[in-house]
Amino acid sequence: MHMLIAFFSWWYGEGWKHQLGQVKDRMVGLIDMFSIDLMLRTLFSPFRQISVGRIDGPIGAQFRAFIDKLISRGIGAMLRITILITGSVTIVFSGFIGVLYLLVWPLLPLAPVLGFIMMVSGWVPFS
Amino acid sequence: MNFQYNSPRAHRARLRNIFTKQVAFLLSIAAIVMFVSGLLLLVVSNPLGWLVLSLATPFYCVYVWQQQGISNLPAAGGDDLDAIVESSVLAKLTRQITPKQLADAAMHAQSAQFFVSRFGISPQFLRDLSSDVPADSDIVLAVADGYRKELNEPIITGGMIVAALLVSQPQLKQLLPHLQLDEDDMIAGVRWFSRLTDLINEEKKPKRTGGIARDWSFGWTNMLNRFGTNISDQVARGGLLHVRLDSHANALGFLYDTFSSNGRQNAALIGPLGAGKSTIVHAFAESLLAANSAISPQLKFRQIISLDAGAIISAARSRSELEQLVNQLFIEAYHSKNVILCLDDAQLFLEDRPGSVDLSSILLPVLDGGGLRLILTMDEQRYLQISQRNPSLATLLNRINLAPATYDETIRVMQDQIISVEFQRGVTFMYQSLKEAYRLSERYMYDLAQPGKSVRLLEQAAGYSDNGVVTTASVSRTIEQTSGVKVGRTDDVEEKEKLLKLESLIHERMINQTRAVSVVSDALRRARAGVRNEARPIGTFLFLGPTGVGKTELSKALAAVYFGGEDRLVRLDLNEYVRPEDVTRLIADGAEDPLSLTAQIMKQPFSVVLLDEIEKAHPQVLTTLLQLLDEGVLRDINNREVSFRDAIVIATSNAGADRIRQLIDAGKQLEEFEEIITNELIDSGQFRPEFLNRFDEIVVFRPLTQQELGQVVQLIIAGVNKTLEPQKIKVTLNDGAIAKLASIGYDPRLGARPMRRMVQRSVENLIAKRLLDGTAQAGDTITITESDIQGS
Repeated sequence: MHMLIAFFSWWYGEGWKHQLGQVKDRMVGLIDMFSIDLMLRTLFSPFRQISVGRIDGPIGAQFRAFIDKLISRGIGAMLRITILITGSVTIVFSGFIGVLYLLVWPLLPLAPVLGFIMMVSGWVPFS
Repeated sequence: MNFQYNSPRAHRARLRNIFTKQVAFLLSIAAIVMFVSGLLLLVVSNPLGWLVLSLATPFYCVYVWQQQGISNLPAAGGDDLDAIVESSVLAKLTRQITPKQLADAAMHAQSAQFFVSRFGISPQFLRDLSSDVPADSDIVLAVADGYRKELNEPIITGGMIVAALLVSQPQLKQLLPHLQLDEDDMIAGVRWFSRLTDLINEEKKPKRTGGIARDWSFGWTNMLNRFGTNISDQVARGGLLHVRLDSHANALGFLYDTFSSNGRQNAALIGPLGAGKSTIVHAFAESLLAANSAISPQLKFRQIISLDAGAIISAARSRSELEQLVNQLFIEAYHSKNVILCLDDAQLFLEDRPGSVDLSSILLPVLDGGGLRLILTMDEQRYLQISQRNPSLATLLNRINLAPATYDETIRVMQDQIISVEFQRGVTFMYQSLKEAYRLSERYMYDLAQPGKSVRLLEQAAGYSDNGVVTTASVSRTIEQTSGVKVGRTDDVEEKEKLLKLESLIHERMINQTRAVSVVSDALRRARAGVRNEARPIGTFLFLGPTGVGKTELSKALAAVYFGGEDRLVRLDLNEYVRPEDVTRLIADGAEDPLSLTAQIMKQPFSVVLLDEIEKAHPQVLTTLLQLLDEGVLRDINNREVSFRDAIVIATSNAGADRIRQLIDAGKQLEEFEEIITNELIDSGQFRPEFLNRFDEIVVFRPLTQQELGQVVQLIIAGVNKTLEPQKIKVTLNDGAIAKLASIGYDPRLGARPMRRMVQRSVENLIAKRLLDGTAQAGDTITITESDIQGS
């Protein structure tokens, strides 16, 4: 009896809270992995600094440097937006799975009852 | 301390006894089998599959509970024992707690196992020597709770209980001195495990490193990657372990301030080798990579690249090419916008020597401009030399001084660093070995500062482990092997025997002077039995007496008999140190003068130091030697403390020789006039009293009698016979020959010193002639009579 009380009090108390913490950690890890905040802050920065930078000289050279930098920024923005989209989709999907897991968690100890009902109903997915 | 056996936490803890690791494994297997079987049944359209599939979940749930909810229980509220004791210990406690039962229960905790293995305590011993009286457990638990509070920990660990048992159970407490431990070491052991647990937990935490786009806004660093080492990369991969020390906090703070402000973006870490300059750079690199740290965005994700002077120099064919290459590297670092360059051992870039190059002409404008972030590391001596040569460079550098680590800090560094050594070398370090490494490295290692030298010594000691355990003996053995010093107390039967017979062994080489032989032998025995003052040389003696009476011979005999050979004699003729500037020669750097006193002792600390004709040395030289005689240390020209604490220091002097002869002739005994002679030497101004007072003993050597001179002749003949042994020829002298040699070989001014020359001239020449003319052949014994000896 003691054991059952201990199990259920952990499962619906600390255990559930612990899972919430793990889901949260996973989400923060994904946000870090996709560098979301960093990419938003540097969305239009030149990619890998591939540009001649600021130069002094005739207007033509300065214009070429400006175009050069603009292309680098363009490439950077395209890459970042691609990753931002991929990352956002992954994060949303992972969040959804996490929430689902948290919702299913309290039902897990009751799964045998559901299994019994399904068995009695006689329905099988691969018939 | 209250203990509620039936509290919910105690119940949960005891579940560990049911849900062991083996049970958890079976649960996980059962869950997998059920799940797979259920799926297979469903695939073959059997509705029973639903039930079987769903029955996997109870196994899974219990497995998760065992892993996350039972194995490590957090502290519950309150101060009761069941609320704050480690769950693995709580699981084993019975209703009636006794110290013996606490010892048993504690041993189920990892912290306790760590403790006993590091301190060399047998769990059985711990149990057997703990009392059976329930009331005694209150004291044990009170001490353990004291440790918990001191360390600000929520839980009383098994290790804390073991430590508390050792200091509060009288029988166990008696054990501590035998294990070379005291009460302070107990808390140090508990703190060690706590730190390691923190480190492991820190490692387990998910890292926030900026992710895939971290470096997209920064430039490529192809050349820097080729000619340097990316410290940040190494830190991120976990390849560089470091310890945060309080003394490093200031230096780290200075680095943050320097690189976050708008001033000159450079920092020069100045400190001795081994003090932790590289460690600070690694710690700085790590903190820059932590996305969740509170550092300024200007610094976040900046990488530290250490330039490799050797690779740069070898890649350039000429000076101009070298300068061009370095310029390119600086430009790449500047353009990348996220690189902090590190010039480790910066003297390699600031001096023209083999393997280094003076690039200060390129560095100066870079430092002056302040645009490129630079960290330089250097030792104090080199920094001073470079500053003297190039003052403008020193003006441009933001200097941070780094002092060697303290004892506590060094122990902490060792505790953290040895974990990787243990893993790589398959050994276990005992706590006592760490203390011993600090003590011995302080004394015998000169070229590194703490904590570097202690760590180096421990790494070397891993090679001298006993069955995989590094003990104090392993550390002593390492020093004995590398420096030849005998550091531990003697346990060797042969050595013990030699020590007990030291007088007779020395007398095999020299005649009489029994008092001198005896005081020197006593000093050595005291040293090897561990009852001497360790903060002084093994012994300091002043030998007074006429020339040729055995003062130098005793020093040589001692070096040969006990210190391992006459080459263990470090001899200085102080008549060569008659000017004040000769002090510099005494303490010169070994690289410039390998024969300076300090250089010789650094190489060979276990020696006999013979300071011959000390009365002729300049007073300033004698003043310099005062510290050596008093504290057993001398600072060399580089201000390194050189230890003479494993040496016997013997000074000899002819001062007062005539007076000694006079007193002997007057029929006085040595013991009667030693004090008279000493007083007369002080009164005549030949020695200052504070100098003579520094010696353990002042021993007067008396002139040898005719009979003793005869014995000296026999000793020399024994040496000649040893030389002739391969030719199977033996020489004997009749009494008349001995008496004649003793008579003509003795000079009132030079004592027995001409004796060897006389024997060579008379005896060896005679043997040589007889061997050549065939009158002596292998197997013969040549008897030399009085008439064979030339001279009058």
